[in-house]
Amino acid sequence: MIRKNHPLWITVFHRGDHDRTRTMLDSLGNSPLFAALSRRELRNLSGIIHHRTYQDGEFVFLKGQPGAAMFIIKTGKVNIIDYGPDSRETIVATLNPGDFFGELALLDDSPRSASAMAVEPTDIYAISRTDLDHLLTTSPQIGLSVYRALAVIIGTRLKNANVQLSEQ
Amino acid sequence: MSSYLSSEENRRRERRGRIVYAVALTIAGLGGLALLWALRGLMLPLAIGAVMAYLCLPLIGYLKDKGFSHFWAILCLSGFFCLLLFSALRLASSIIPDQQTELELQVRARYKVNNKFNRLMGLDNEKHRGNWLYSLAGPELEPIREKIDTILALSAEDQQLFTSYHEATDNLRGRPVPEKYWQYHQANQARDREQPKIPGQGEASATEVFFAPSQAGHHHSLLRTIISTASLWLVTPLVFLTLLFDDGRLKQGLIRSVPNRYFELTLTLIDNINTALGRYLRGTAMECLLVGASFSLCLFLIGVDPRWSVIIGAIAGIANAIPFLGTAIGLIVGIIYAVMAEEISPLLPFVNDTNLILAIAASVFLVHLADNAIFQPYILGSAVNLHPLIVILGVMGGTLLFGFAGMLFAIPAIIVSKVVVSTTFRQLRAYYII
Repeated sequence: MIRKNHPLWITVFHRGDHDRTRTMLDSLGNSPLFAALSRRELRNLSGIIHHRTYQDGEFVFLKGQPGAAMFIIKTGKVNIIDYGPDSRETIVATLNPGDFFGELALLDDSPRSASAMAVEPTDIYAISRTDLDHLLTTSPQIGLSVYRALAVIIGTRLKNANVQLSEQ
Repeated sequence: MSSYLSSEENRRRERRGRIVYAVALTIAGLGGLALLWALRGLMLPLAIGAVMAYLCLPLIGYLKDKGFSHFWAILCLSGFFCLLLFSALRLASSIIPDQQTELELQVRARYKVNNKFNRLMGLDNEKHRGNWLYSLAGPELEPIREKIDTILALSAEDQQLFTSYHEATDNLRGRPVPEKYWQYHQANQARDREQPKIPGQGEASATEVFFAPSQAGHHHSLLRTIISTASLWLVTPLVFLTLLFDDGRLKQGLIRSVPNRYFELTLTLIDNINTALGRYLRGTAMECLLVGASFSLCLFLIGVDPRWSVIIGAIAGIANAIPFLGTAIGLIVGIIYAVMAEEISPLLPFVNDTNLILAIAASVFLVHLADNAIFQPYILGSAVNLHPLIVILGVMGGTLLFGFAGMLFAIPAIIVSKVVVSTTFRQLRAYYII
């Protein structure tokens, strides 16, 4: 009997993408959004993950565009850029591997509040809102975990923003 | 690399790039269309496999949610479909006639058509030949009846064979022709003597029309026909299983080939197509199921044999997927049954052998009414927000181009085109591309 992790099985049925999947699962597991998911749930989730590669200086999205997906950095760096009233660029944050951005797109398709630009060759995992919504109906446990983590993260950011505002 | 080039050379390079992309896209588009046209024979089995897989995706999701792995969920679903197919084949094999039954059916059909026509037109009354209906439409309907009568008439060889079956001398199965059918045969012969015509000369008999080899000199054996049909339809389960096992890889591969700039736009476009197509296909499948079940119930109530109620209901339900034609197909199949029916046992007291055709027409009308007033508004809703003229032209155009497959898939194709056009331009603006 050939086991599922047998090299022959992997060669024939996984078409050599076993390592890629493992790397993806590791990266996703390190993200706070998916930290609560088991390995099996992460594997289910990997079916809706899109892998994108951006060049240095390439925009991932622009401020004002409708959001359809959130992004998790696998390798590289991404700057979050906002534009003031005088159209001057302000780098709001520089994100590193494991960080995620554009997560509000998972809630609705409201316009992006800032632009995101790769500042070096960057590999990114993307998850679309509709795929995650679909996952919520087919695998409610996974969807619920992700949305709960998202709510916690957004809540924490809101609290931090309130603290910053009260300090000013 | 582009940083080594001057801005003028970069512009030229971009222009060349655009030309290359445009030419490549045009060639790919034309090649795709040519391929589609060349493989149009495969379109129906391919599309049915794809649609079945698409309709089953929620079921796979449901099974996975219940703890099944993807593999076992597909295996369970495939097993269910195999069981369904096996039952359908068993049902089909039970109604496929042997040579004797075929001749009996032909004799019955001819007798019944003439008999019912005469009764409907009042031609069976010796005193007053023809009623108001005959005076209204008799001259127009008479040639049609004559044509059907000629087609259903037995050839000289078939008559000999039928006689031998009746005498049970040449009958290996030992089943003599029922006396009733022999009487029908004699009545048909009496009709031939009154209005002589020689079957086989000029007009072809029904056996020759339906069971003769094709006219173009292609003399295919039954085995060869079965093998070629089976090999063509082998694509259906293959496409079905491949798409189910694919588990989103096809979509991921498609999106991977899209430039980063169009990534989110493509996600939105695919989502919109998926929503519109899913709503239409699942809605139509549910609507067809309800129409088929309602029609079966109505037929059962008016006395049609339960097995035939299910078969005719299934045909009407499937045909309902074709706009406008579905109702007509259901009506025609129902009327053919009513013409051929020997005895009925209706649950409704006012239905009898004489008004069975009217009862079937009323059933079709009732089901059509329920479909328009209840099923479509509640199930399909605004999923098919197309102008009726577009629907008619689409169905006709699809039929002309791709035959039955075009007729069946014209509306989904129009829906996809509509969504692509409306979404693309809106999203191109939203993503600052145009």
